Amino acid sequence: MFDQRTDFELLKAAAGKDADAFRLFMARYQERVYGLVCRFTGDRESARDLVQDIFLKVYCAAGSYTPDAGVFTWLYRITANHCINCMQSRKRDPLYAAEEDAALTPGVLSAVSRAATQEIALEQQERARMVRRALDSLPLRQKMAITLLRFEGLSYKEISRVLECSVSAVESLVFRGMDALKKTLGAELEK
Amino acid sequence: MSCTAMRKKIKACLDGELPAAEAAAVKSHLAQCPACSREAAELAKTWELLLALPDVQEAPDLIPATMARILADGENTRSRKLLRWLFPVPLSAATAALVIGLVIGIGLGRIIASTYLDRGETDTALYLEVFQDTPPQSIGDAYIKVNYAMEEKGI
Repeated sequence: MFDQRTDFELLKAAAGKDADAFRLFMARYQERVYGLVCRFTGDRESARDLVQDIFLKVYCAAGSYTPDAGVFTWLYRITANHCINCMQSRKRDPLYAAEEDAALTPGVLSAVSRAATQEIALEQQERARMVRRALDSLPLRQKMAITLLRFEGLSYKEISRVLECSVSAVESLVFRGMDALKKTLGAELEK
Repeated sequence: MSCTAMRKKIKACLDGELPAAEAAAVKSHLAQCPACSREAAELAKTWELLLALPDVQEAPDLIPATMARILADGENTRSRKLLRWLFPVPLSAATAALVIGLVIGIGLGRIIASTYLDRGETDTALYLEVFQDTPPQSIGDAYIKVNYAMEEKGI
């Protein structure tokens, strides 16, 4: 039977240790959270672990949610903070840095193989790798702002709520990020 | 507005994020400035290029694994609560108590030792008599004592 409870009601119930309510909340949002994490990290395996960590945090913080902040904003804020913190600690880990390039989006890139011919698929795959590398070279907050804007379709105002900064700061993050991407992908832009 | 200031606004303008008046100013500048216009075209192309990233595949069902972790986390919390109930004094407090106990113990030990030290020195002094030329209760001591006694009696 379809549960008609609102997100706030589900979170309130989850705060009271109602596992079923939380299961339902997670069923509603795991797809979007997973999408954002996958876009941000470019790695499906990491995304699986990160999404679990994020929902564990959401469960612990369920009692602190207030409906005056939209549930997406609240959820995306937890997601963005967790992703940025994790990537920061990974960047400091030399072992991870060595593995990072090898593990570059094998799962995500598999979608490319659906392209009509192998040659086109390879070309697309190479372009995707290049874009991924360029995105990964950005400072984490710039990368998150661009991911939220480009792939999640959030407005500057919504991004400012997620990243807990002003709209002009988001404008600046996007401008600097895009400027860096433009320079990194310069050769590709010539084509 | 200068080109540098204008370029900072181009992306926001392309995203439809600028107020109408500001957007009109940017558009009017782009129409007149070939360099900024080229910049805008490159930004738009870069923006399109980001779509080269493939679609994210369907999310796996992460609910069972997450719920298992939540349950395990709950168990850990319960275990911690049980430990706290069994040992209400935290480990750090127990360590602090041990250190304080040691300090007090050493202090008291010194006081006691100093109290008994005098007697110990006296005892040592007494026992040193053993090493005299005529130690107490030795033959020499007995001989001297007999001599003293005879002298006192005038023998």
